Amino acid sequence: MAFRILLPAEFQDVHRQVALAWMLRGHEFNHEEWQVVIRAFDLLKEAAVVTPQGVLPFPVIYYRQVEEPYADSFIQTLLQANEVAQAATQAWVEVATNIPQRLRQAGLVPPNQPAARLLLAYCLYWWYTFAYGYSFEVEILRDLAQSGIQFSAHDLTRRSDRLSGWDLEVSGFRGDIKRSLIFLQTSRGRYLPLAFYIVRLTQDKRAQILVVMMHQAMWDAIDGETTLTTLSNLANVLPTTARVYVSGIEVVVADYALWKRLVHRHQSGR
Amino acid sequence: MFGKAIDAISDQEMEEAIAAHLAWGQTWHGDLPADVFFGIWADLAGKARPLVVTVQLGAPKPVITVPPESPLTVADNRILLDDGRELVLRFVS
Repeated sequence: MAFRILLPAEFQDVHRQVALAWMLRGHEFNHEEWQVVIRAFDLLKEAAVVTPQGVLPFPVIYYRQVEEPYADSFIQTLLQANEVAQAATQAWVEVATNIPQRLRQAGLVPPNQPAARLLLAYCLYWWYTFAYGYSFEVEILRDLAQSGIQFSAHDLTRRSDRLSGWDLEVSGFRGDIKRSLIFLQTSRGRYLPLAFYIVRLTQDKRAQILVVMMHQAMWDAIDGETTLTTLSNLANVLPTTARVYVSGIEVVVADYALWKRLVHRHQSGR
Repeated sequence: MFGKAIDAISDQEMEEAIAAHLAWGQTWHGDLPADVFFGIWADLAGKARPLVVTVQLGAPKPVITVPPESPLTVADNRILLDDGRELVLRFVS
C-alpha cells in the first residue's frame, strides 16, 4: 500500500483551512472560528495514515509519538514545580518543538505528502490541550488544598487515572477541572454528566476569571443565591452567581472564590 | 474566511506556521473569553437536541413511532440510528 492520508467524508476544505489558521493565530480566533476548529480536530480523530505497514489512526499515532514518550515526565514536571504555569510553558514548548521532527523521522509526514501536515497539526493541537489542561488542573488542586477544601482527586501520574471519568470529588459531588477550550472540546453538549466543572475564562482585556459551573443540587447543598439569565448573556452577568438553562438542564455558574468559601463553610458544618 | 488550506502551502510556509504556533502557545494557554465560551456552548447545546421516540403501549404489541423530521428510522421493534447503528427494543412484562 502506498502512503496516503485517509480523511472522514465530512472533512472539507474549510477544515483544511482552519487547521492552518489555528497554527498561525489560534489565540486570536473568534466565536465562529472556534466552532469550526473544534469540529475539524474532532473529525481528525477519525483520520488515518495508510503506510506499507498498515493503517494507523491519528489518535494511535498521537499516543505513540507524543503522549507515551512525553506525558508522564510532563506531569512530573508540573507536580514538582514551584511555579506551575511557568514550568508548563517551558515543558510544553520543548515537546511541541520536537513533534514535527519526531513525526518526520517516523516517516509519517513525508515532504511529498502535503495532506500529512494535518497529522502534524493534529498532534500539536492535542498536545497543546493536554499540556495546558493538566497545568490548570495542577494549579487548581494545589489551590484547593491550600484553601483547606477537603477533596479527593485522581492520581495524575497514572494514565489510567488520567482517563477516569472525573478529576475530583468534593463533599460527595464529582467534578472536573477544565480550561474553557478543553471543556468545549470534551464536555460540551446537552447533558453535563458531572456535578461541577471548574473552568477558567477571560474577560475585559484578558483578565482571567475562574468560575464553577454546577448542577443545582450542589449549589443547593452549599446554599447560595442565584440570578436567572440566559447562556448567551452569561458573560455580562458574571461574577454574579447565575442560573441558566442549557437545553432544559439547569446549571449554576458561580465565582470560584465564592464557591470555595461556601464549600469550606459546608464542610465545616457551619 | 480562513485563508489557505494546510495542504496547499509551501514547506517554507508550513515551517512559519509551526513557528507561529510555538510562539503564541507560550503566552496564550486556552482560556477563552467568557462571551465566546458561553456563545459556543449555547450553540453546541442547541444542536444537541434529544431525539424523540413514542411508544404506544397496547395489544397485540407496542407501536413505536418517531416524528416525520426525525433522523431515526423505525422498523417493527428496531430503531435505525443515522450513524448506521441499530437499537433493538425488547418489551417484557
